[in-house]
Amino acid sequence: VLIKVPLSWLREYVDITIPVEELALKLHMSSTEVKGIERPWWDDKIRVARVEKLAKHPNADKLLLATVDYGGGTPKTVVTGATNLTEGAIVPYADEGATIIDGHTGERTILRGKPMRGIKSEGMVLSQKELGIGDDHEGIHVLDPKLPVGSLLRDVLGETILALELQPNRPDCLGVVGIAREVAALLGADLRETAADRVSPGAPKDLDVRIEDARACPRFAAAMLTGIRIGPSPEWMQARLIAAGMRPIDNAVDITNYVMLELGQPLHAYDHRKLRGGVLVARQARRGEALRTLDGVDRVLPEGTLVIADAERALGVAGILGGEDSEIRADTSTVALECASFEPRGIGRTATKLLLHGSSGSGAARRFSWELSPELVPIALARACRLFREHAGAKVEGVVDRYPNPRGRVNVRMRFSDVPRVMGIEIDPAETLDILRRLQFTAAADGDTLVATPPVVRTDIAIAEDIVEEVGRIAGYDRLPTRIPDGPLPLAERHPLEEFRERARDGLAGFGLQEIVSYSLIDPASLRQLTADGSPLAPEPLRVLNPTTVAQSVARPTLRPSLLDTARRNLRHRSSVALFEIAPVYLPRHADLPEERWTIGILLAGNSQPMKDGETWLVPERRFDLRDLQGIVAGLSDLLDVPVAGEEVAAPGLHPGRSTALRLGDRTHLVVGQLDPRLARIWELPAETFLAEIDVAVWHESARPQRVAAPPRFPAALRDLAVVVEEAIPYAEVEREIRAAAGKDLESVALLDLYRGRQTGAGKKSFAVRLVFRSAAGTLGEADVQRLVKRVTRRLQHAAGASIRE
Amino acid sequence: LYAFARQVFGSDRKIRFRVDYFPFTEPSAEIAFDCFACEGRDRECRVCGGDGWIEAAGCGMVHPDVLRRVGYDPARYQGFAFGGGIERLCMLRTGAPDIRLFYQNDVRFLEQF
Repeated sequence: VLIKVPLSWLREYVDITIPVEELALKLHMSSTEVKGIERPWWDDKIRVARVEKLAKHPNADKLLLATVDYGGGTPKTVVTGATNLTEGAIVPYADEGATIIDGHTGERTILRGKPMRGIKSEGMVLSQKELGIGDDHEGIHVLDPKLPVGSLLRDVLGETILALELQPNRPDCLGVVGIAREVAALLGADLRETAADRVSPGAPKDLDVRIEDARACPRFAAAMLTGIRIGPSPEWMQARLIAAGMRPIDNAVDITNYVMLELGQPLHAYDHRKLRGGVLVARQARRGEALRTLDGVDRVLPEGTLVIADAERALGVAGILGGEDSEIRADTSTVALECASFEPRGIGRTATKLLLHGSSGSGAARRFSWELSPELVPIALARACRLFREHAGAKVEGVVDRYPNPRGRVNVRMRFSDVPRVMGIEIDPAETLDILRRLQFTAAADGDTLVATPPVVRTDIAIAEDIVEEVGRIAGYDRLPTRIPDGPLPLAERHPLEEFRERARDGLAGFGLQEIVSYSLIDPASLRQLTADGSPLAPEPLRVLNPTTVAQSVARPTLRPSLLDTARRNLRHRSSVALFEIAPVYLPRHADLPEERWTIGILLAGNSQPMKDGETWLVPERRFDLRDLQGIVAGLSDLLDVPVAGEEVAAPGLHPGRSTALRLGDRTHLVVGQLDPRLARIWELPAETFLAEIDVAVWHESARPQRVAAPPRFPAALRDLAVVVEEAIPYAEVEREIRAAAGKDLESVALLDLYRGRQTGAGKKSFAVRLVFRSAAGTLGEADVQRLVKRVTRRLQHAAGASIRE
Repeated sequence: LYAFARQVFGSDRKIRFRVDYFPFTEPSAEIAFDCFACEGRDRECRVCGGDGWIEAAGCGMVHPDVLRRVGYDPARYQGFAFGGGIERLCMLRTGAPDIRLFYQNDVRFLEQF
C-alpha cells in the first residue's frame, strides 16, 4: 500500500532535526520503503497577495478587474472571472513568467500576460487546480488572512510529501502517527501524543451497538454526536487531505478521513435519523439482501458479507463501503460514528467479490484487510470526537464500546544473546533495551533474560525473532559484517538424478540441439491434437483451480504439445529446428499428490544443415530424417551408459511404420519416431517432423555405474566370417547368437558388409562379420581361436540355419 | 551474497542490505548491488533508475515456523535463505531488453546464450 505523508503533519508528532533526504534514507533502510519525496514546485513568482480593489471590467459583464498587492512595489491589475473574490481577501498571485498548471489541460505552463477584452492582465490570481493542490477551478483559492503579503507561497503553503510503500505486516504504519513512531525511534526523539477527548464509556441514550458475529467483528464501538453543523472543514485539514491524496467533502466526512490518515483506523459516520431502532449491528448479510452503496450502485450482497445494519436492514458493507441512505447530508445534525475492528481475510474476500479491492478500490477495505490492532478503536474514536467537537460543533453524548473477547498482550520472553546470535551484529543488552524503548516497547531485563511487550498498535510481534529484527533494523543493517561462513565444509553432493539430467543436457547441447524451457501449464485443447483421432495420449491432466487464461489451465502430462508449439512458432522464420527440453510432466495419482515424471523431449524438423543467413550453395540441403534422431538417442544412451532395452510397444501419435517405443515394467521409457503426418498438418509442421521422449528415471535406474579397466596386455586375433542366412533373419539375431557362443573371450563383433546375389542363392543374404578375440589371461594361440570359431559356426548353423564361409 | 554479487557483476561491486518483509524469513532483508552501469553517478541511469542501487534479491533468516514444519528444532538450528528472479539477474548481466523473451523460446534469442 502506498501512502502519502505530508511532512508538516509528521512534524506535529515528532521533531525532525535532519534534512528530509536523510530522514527518507533512514526510513527506507529500516523498512518503510520511500518511493519518492514530492517537493513544492512553485517558483519565486508565486506569492501571497491581497486584493486591494475590485472593479467591473468596462467591456465585459462577467469579468472583474482586481488590483492586487503582492509586496512587489506597484500593485498589479489582473482580469478574472472568479466570483468568490472580496476586497481585502488574501490570495495566491502568479506574476508573468510563473509556472502554473493550466486549468484546462492540467499541464504545467508558463504564465503569459495577455489582454482580455482590451485590458491586459498583468498576472493571475489562482485556483486550487492552477496551484496543483486540488480539482477546484471555479473560484480563487482564498488563503488564510493571517498569511504575510509578499511571502513566497511555497514557504507558507508548500508541502513536502513522503510517498511511502508499506508492507502488509505493518498496519500500524498506515497512519501518520505510525510513521512518526518510526521516525522517533530512528532519531531517538520523543513521540507526541494525539490530541483526543477523554471519552468515558457510558452507553448514550438512543444509540447502541451489537455484535452478532464476534469472529468477523471482534470489536465494535460508536459515539453519539449531537448538535453538528455540516459545512466545509478547516483549510488546514483540507490542505492535508489533498496533500495525502484525498478529496475534501464536508467536515464530517473529512474528519473521519483525517483520523484514518492519521491513525490508520477507518471510521464511518451515519446520519442518526436513518437508524431504525437506534442500533448498529454487525451481522452476516441475509440471503439475497441488497443495498445501494455510497457510489450509487445497487448491490446484492454475496454470501459471507459482513454488514453493519440497524434493527431492520443493512446500512453498509462492514469495513468496505457505506450505504447511500444513511450517509451524511447537509442538514444532518446527529451522527452515529462507527469505529470497529474486523477480521482481515473476510474483508479482503468481500472486497474482491465486490470489485472494491486494490489501490482503486475502497481505502477502508485496503486498511481493514491488514491486521489493524483492535486497540486502535478507542484511540481513533477519541481523536475523532475531539475533532468533531472542535470543527463541527458536536457534543459528545456518549460512547459505547463492545469488545467481548479482548486479546491478551503479547509478552516475548527471550535472551539478550538471541540478538547477536540471529543478527550476527554485536548489539549489547543496553543498546537492545534502548532501541526497544525508543520503539515504545516495554522491556524488562533479568540477567540474560529479556521480556519485551510491543506497543498496543503493533500486531506483527509474536516471537523472539521479531524482537531481534526490531532491534537489528533500528541499529542498522549497515552494521552487518561481511564474512564467509566458517566451520567444517559440507560435502557438495548433487542429487544423483539432477546430475544425470545435467549430463543429458550437456550431451544434447553438445550434439548441436537447442534447449528450450517452456511453460508447465498448457492449453487442454492441445492435448486433443496429439493423435489423429483425438484420443488421449496421456492421462487426464490436473486442472488449475483459478487459471488466469485457458492457455495455461492444465499441468502438462506430456512435453509433446510444448515441443510442437515451439517448433511451429520458430519455423515461421527459420528453415530448421533441433530442440530439446528436460522437464517434469505431471501425472495425477489417486488420493495422492501427482507424480512429477522428469522427461526428455527431442524434436527435429527441417533442414539439417541450416545456414545462419539463408541457404548457400556450399552446403547441399539435407532434411532431417529418422536416422538423425536415432543417432541422437543412441549417442545419448551411450553417453549416459544406459543399455536401451525393453519390450517393443506401439507409439501412438507417431507414424505407425516409422516409430518404435520400448517398455520396461509398466513404464514406456523411450519413444522414437516420425510425427504422424496428419498431426504435422494440424500443427503446421513439415510432414517429416521427428520426435523422441525419454523417461529419465527409468534410464537412470538402468544406467551402468562407470567402471574402467586397464588397456589389454595381450594381442587380439581377428577372424572374418560370411554368414549366409534366410532373408527373414535380422542381423541382430545373428550377432546375439555369435556372442552367446563365443563367450567372454569375444571382444567385439562388427558387421562389415551385406551381400545378396548369385553366390547366396534366392531368398538368402550374406552378412560379412568381423570377430575380434582377446583373452585377459594370455595370448590366444591358433588352436584356441580355431576352437572359438568352431563354436560360433556350429551355433549359427543350428540356431539360425546359416551356412558359413570363413 | 557479496561473493555472488562480485562473481556475477564484477569484483568491485558493493552490496547493501535494507530491511524488508517476507512471511518465511525473520529477520528479512532486501539485497541491492551498487549499479555496475553508472556506479551511482548518473541520476538518469536506466539500469538502476538513478539511485545507484539495483534491488536484486530477497533474503533473511529462515522463520522458526518454517524450520519446525520441516522437522528442524529451531532451538538447535538456524539458517539463512535467499532468492532472486533469475530472469532479472540475467537481464542485468546480458542486457536482454524484455523479460518476455525468456518465455517465448525463440531460437534466435536462445542461441545467443
